[in-house]
Amino acid sequence: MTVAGLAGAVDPAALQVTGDLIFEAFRVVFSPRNLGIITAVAIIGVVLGALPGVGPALAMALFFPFTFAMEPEIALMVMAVLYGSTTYGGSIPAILLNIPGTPGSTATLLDGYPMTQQGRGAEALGLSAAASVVGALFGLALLAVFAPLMAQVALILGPPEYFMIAVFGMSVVSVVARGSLLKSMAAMSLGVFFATVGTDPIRAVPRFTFGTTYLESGVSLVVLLVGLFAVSQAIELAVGGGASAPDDQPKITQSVVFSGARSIVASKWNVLRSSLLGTVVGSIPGMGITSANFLAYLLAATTSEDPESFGSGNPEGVVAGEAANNSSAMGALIPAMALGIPGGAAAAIFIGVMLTYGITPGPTVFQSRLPYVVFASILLGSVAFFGVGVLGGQYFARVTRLPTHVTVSGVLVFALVGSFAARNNLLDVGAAVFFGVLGYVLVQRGYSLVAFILGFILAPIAERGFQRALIISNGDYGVFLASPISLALLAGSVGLFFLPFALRRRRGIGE
Amino acid sequence: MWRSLRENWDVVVLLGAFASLTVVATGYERTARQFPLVFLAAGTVFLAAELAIAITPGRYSERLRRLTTGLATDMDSAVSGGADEPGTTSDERRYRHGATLALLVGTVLAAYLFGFLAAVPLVTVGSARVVGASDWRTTAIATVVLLVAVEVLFGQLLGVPTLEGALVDWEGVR
Repeated sequence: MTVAGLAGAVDPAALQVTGDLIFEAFRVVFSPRNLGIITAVAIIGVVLGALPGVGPALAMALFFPFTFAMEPEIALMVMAVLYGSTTYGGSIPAILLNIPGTPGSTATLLDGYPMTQQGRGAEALGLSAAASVVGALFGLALLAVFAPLMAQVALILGPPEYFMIAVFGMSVVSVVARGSLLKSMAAMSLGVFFATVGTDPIRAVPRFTFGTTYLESGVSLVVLLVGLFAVSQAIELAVGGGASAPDDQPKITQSVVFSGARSIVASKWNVLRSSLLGTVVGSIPGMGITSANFLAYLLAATTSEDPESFGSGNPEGVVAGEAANNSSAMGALIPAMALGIPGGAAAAIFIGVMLTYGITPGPTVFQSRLPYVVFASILLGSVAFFGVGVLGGQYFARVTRLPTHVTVSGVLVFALVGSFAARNNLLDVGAAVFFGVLGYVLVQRGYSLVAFILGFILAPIAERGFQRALIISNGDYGVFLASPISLALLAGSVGLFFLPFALRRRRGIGE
Repeated sequence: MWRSLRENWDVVVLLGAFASLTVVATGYERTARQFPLVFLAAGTVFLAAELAIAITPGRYSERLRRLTTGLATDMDSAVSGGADEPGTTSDERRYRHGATLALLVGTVLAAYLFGFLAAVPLVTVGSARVVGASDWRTTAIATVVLLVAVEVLFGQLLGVPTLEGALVDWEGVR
């Protein structure tokens, strides 16, 4: 596609078609049945997010098997609403108990919990609900604008560029890794290895099947995700003992939650700045919600006129963290829906649901009403979780008292039966346990699960691009350097890969 | 050096796995082996470098460790000191590791032999034992709720044969 072609994407006729698709999508979502589903999923999402240790990725992995019984639009609608509401739910235990319900709410507790200790827990809950909904809607607006544009850009890409985009996505691991860079890169390579189990995409030669028919169809994405996120988290909760809420929880009054939500107006610049930062950070593969949460908090603290008050109950800290984590959830969907490259683990599951229904992320998706159904669902889902959060704050606080062994049982039962439900194959249950133990060990030993998932999701894109490019060029590797886009992506990948080493060296490695 | 290797057992195990898989991959035909070989070789190099750093003596090891630490680690430490980690002793963790693994294997076996519904009480009672919870009423309520949830959501909605096991087939009861 040429530049003129890109310009054609915004011609009046195309806009008319898009307008019709948006109208149709809203008609679908506004049906009484779907409104009921959105409200129910928003409640379930907030409850799951409020459970310490249950984050968006785990919740979505547990819900994945249920989507098999749904139409594709409903399945993606459920996942989109669950993603937003679970992300918000994580702030409840962070504020009330000093325990982040999801890793993406870790920075929120730094000021949220001190507010609770000062008797301002209800105000913090209201602020967090309002900041979350603004963040989600801000991220949604950017998602709705940039995902179709990015998808249009995908039309000018050929197999070599797709390969280079996947390599670029993988090299981001180097920048976003926590702990050992080498271990994170090894985890990504391990993810790539598991993606290559089965038959190769060109000649269907069996690889790494070790003579078994079970492995010939490859590693099931559902089983892998359920194992890595649900089973491993159940093991972590069982071994770590989890976190239990004290009995003397603060009293949450609905009117104070409301006034807390209203006070978001005083933080309008902070919430908008954090939402923008969150969306941008979330759209970078591998960065994820946790990074957005931390970075927005740090930005709010460093730009504040009263930075010393951060960490001792400054409402701006809660606003920054919550606006950023919800907007980053939406940002992660931009490359996911446009190019099939996940911004984070939960976005990878979202792509998995799309692929399960034979929907390949990219420009063709935006020729249907499906993405607009997702956008409309997120919009309504955000309103729903805001309502649920403000009206039911005092009830959701009780959820955090659920004993750890009940959470462990629930997660394990749903994970194991869910992995079986994917193909009615008991070997899948064994595989889910294997990936659960592997995921637990990897995390305990400092390997990045996000890097692992990035490798697993990006490997098929990279390999298809790699093989097709070589077929087109009759085996000439120069094809990967033939176009300016490929060259720029290669330079970017090399630069990103060596950036942390260069920065460390510049700062002085002995410091 | 042996101590370093023992402390980095995960790197040693993964390095062995990557090296073995690299050898396996070289046996495939060209189009099938090219792509995985690149990443298996890369993984082997990363892990070998990690191991080399671990066995490098003292001061140099520390400097190399800093050089290869992810930038996001700095961001985490800048805002650390938040959540209280629940404390468990190493003996307790060792017991829980073994018990959780036994619970997982037992659940898969029970699901295979007696069906998923029959495995639910094993999971709830087993989880309570692993965590050390003594409130039998909560466990009983959790068992009933999960039995109903599994039967309704998986058995009825998704058509999963929750009552079918290799030894006992309860499907007639339904």
